[in-house]
Amino acid sequence: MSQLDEQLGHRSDGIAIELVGLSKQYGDVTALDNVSLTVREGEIFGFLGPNGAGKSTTIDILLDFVRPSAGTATVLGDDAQTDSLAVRQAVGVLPDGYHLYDRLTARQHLEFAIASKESDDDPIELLERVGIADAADRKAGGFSKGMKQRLVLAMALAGSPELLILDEPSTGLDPNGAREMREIIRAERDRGATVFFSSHILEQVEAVCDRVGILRNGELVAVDTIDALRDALGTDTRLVLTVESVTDDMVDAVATLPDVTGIQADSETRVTVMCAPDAKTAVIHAVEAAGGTVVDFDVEEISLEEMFAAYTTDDDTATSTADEDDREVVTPSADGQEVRA
Amino acid sequence: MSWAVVARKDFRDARLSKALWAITAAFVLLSAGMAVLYATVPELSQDIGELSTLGYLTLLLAVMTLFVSVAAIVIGAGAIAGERDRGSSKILLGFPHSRADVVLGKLIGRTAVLAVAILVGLAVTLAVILALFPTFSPVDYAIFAVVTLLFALVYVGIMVAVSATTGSGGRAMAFGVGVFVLLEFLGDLLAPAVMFVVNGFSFGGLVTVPGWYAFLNIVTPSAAYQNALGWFLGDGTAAALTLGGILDGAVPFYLTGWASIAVLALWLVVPLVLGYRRFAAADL
Repeated sequence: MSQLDEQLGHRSDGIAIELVGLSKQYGDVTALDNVSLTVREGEIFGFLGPNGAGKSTTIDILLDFVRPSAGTATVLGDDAQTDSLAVRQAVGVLPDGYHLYDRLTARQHLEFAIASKESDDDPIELLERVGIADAADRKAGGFSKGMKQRLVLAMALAGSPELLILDEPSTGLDPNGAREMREIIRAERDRGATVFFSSHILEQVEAVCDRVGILRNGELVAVDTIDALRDALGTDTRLVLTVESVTDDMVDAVATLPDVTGIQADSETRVTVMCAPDAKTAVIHAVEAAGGTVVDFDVEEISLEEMFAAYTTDDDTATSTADEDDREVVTPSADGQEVRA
Repeated sequence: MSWAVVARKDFRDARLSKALWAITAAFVLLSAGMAVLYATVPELSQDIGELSTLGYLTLLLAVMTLFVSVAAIVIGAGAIAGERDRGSSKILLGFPHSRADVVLGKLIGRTAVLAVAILVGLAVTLAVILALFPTFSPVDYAIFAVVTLLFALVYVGIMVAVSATTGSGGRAMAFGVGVFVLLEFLGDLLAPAVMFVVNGFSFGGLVTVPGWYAFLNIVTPSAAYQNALGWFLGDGTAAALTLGGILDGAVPFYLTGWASIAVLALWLVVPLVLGYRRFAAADL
């Protein structure tokens, strides 16, 4: 790490982003409401939420595109409003809703990025990293959305930033491109960078994030690891059993088990059981005791989609949560920090 | 030198604008064509009686004023507002450039583009002059070029300032055209209007023209540019005397070419400061 990096690390005490009571009003509309969040250096943090939840507003405040109505945002120890130049020097940005300079080539875009960061990167090397080196001398106006996204990512990587802020990075990328994006995100984390990225595509987040924050209607409703959030939403596991034939005895026997909360016959040969994770063996024993033969079984975790829906909609049927009425989820996270929802 | 990075990027981008090429081609044709006409149609040079660089430049002045102001709208009005409108400002300002750097970089980058257009036009015209005119005055031509470049800087500055006040490219263009109309057409009415008011809402009984009246006539950027060129190209007094009308005695300092340069400097600085302040406070 360079001396600059060390200085930054020292000044920020291991904290990459700190939001304290951050609010933003646009007239009568509250885009962000009292959001407090800490992102530690070196982690990949996923910022989740439906469109319009306030993700881009938060990022706009970090970059001083937008000024908060209340609260503060600190990036790598520098105030995002008063020391914005220092922030943007240390940060690589892939914004949402950007537009490239149609008349400039990919190489010229990189040259601008490199000159802006006063770094000595090779434009072609950066373009190679994102897989569009062969388009270096083509004008960006003719690029597909996916190529534009790769180009802006290459620009964000210029100067080896301490922190990458990526707003919906997989927009416009095909599955292969999205995978390459994830590889680059991991490589940047391994280099020592912090990655903060927003998304409404859950698989993206699950695949790479150390921790996630979920934003809903401008409020941060949960911050934790994905596993801990999943636990907080209830411990039930969905057990799908394939048997030779489903009988009423079998269903009754399973339904009366203490740790089973539901059972449903899906077909002649398949039942789905909602139960506590450690009740799986008891369920299978009960089925066999009732004369059934278990051909196959499958354990499904609560999908991220369901989890996301639970946090971001008022539809109570999405899944059962511990405190659904007020949507407060307080749970010790994996690293012992208390997490407020 | 963050503004220089912005200016360089902007120059590379804006110089490829098709609208700019069209307007430059029109200017080159007009400027060179006028030189040909001036040299070949005797009636055009009749009042001077000889083909001279100065005589031609006097003719060119009106065309140049229009070209620079219109080109400045095309080049400058979208400079910042257009980027905000499209979203390229998110790329630009995602890098460590202050908003002051952006305004300054845009001013320099866009002025450089217009300067290239002007210099191309003047170079082509110079070839015509050397071929057709019996004499050539390089000093006059150089003064004309330098003051014109200053005028271009000022007008682009005004348009960049307009551009800094809004996030809508269309609105910036409308404001730009509005400012142009205000400066080029209504500006001519300023002096008479003030005179009308000062004189008790009438033009009756006016015998002499006061100095401030002459000054108000050369207070717009275009008029200041033309007065400055008249001053520096002529014998030093002719232009001011024409403008000042029936002034007795020495030309007051505020009608000199140097005063007009100072007026141009104010037109450069004041709008940009106001535009910057608005841009600096804006949510993008």
